[in-house]
Amino acid sequence: MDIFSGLALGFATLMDFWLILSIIGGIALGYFVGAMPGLSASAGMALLIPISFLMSPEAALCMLISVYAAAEYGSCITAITMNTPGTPGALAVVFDGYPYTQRGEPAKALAISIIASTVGGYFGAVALILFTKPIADFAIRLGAPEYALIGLLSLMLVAGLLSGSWVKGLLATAAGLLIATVGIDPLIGQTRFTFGVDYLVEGIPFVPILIGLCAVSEAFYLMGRSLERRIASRSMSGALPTWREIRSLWPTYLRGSFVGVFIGIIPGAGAAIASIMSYNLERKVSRTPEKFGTGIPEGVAAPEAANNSSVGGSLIPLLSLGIPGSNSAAVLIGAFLTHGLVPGPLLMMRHGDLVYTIFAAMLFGLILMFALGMLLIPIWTSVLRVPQGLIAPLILVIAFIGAYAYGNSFGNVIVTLIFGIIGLLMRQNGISYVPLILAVVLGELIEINVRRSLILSQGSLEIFVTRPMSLVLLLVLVTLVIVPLVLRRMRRSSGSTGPEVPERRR
Amino acid sequence: MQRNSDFWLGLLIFMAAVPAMWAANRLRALDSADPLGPAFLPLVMTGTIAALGLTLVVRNIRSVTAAETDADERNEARNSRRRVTGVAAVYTLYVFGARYVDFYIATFVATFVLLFLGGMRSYVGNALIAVAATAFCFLVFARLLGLPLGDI
Repeated sequence: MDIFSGLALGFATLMDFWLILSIIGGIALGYFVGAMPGLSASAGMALLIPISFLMSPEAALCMLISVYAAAEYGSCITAITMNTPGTPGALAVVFDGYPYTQRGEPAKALAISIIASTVGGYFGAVALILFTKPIADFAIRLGAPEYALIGLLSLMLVAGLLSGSWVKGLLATAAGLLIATVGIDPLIGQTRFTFGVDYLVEGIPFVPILIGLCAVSEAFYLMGRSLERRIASRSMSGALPTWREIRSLWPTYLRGSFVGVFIGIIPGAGAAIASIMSYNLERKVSRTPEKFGTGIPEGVAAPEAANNSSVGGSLIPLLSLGIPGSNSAAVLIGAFLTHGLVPGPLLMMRHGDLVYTIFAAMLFGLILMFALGMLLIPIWTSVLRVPQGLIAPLILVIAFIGAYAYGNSFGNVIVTLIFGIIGLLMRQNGISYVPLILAVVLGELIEINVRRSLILSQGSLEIFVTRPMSLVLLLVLVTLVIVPLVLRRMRRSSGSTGPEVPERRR
Repeated sequence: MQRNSDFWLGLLIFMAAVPAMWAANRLRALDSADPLGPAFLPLVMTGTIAALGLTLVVRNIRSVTAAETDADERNEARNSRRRVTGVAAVYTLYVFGARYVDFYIATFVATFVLLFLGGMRSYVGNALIAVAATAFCFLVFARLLGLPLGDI
């Protein structure tokens, strides 16, 4: 199936009342979770997975992807109006978005941001449509050693990127790989770490782990924070940007979108890194870099375009290789597995119609997102009037029901509780739970393929260096281990600190 | 003078990893063509976790928590820890209460208490929200979606 006939089929499938309703519902929910400070897209998606079990795979996946895309835009509403990013992906929007509100022009910044989000979203969706099939076709030809190395490469990237401390990043990764070994060994059927508990024989289910780490730990964390009511007192008034202003921002939109797709593809890098990198790039190419941080359109458009295009970027490795490019993409794996689908190179071959329906839903959903974003800005900001002390208990109740709904098993609820507490302890100790989630997802893939490779080579490690693709991947992997160590040493000796971003203005 | 929290974290991880390593070592490989066997990954991972835990201990053995932190910050951190511990305890009781008492009663009580812990101080308001949340669970999840919540 070529791209155009695939998309035509996708749009034809999409012309269904329930599918369109699931996209609209997903967008509304995405705006809600994005606009609520402290509540992430992945938490909202994790809560919806068990409920999505009751929907068709098309409706469930369209809804969750809509939540993901809309949350990235929703997070900029609080960034612009309250100086508080709804999700880490909107951090860079704060620098130039909030000064607009201080000047009494929040509507202008919000309009620039929704246009940038839509352009970025389309850029990401087009990249997703163009690259998924070729990469999946290529991936079918890869063997066990290459798959093992791609899995390891993804884990190294995530462990290195998301944790300030490499020890803590590796700890989360190793713990995730260990959790993935619980249950029946995938090659010879021996049970591991089950301690005689029947529930553990099939391994610890992924969805309750996700709900625990993403939703329950987030609710615990929210309840622990200062519980003052956050009220959006700022008016949404002010002039909208002129057509000339919008047109002049095209190079910014495109640069931001390109950075977003590129960073989105890298596992674990995600929207936060994409938006900060895009902001820094825009400042470097600008003729007036000193104006950044004072409220200029480029400072809002660049990170917002990157933020949203990273959504499409992060889905490319997910749909073509089965490797999630972000935390929210990892949550989507749970949704695929819930419906008996395995994301990866064979998904395109076996369920091409479903993949093209997802593509069509993304293209269609972006129009709806733009329209709903522009029309309902005052409603999204009223979300901020809901006290967090009310939201967090409701998340906990829904997390309980969601975990139970996944297989009607009380064991799942216990797993969710345990991983909620683990996630909270990880947050309190500065350990990102994303490497752990990714390691749980990729654990079986890595283990099976390492062992298969060694069975094929009769125990010889040469198999990893005698195949050209595997050798390239191995070299990249070694570079990834060595380069950060060298960079860290260099940074320490030069006394440099963190990414280059202006100080947040209050 | 208090030790850095990473020291205790490392110690806890090391102490948890050692018995896990012992359990991994007891996994016996069946006779097969697989040169690594089922024990390899668990053993490597538990070993790695133990080594990383020890690294945290060694790195932080001399570092201490700064004594000059602001008193307000310390109080806020302490209150936050108390709130989180309270919430986690109530949620744990809710999970087991739903199993051994009744899901709907447990949901009502847990929502009421969690709202209170979340800073909502109105008894009547909290009771009304808790009733609404419980009714929502019953109507949407049990009646509409057919989830057997009463059988948990």
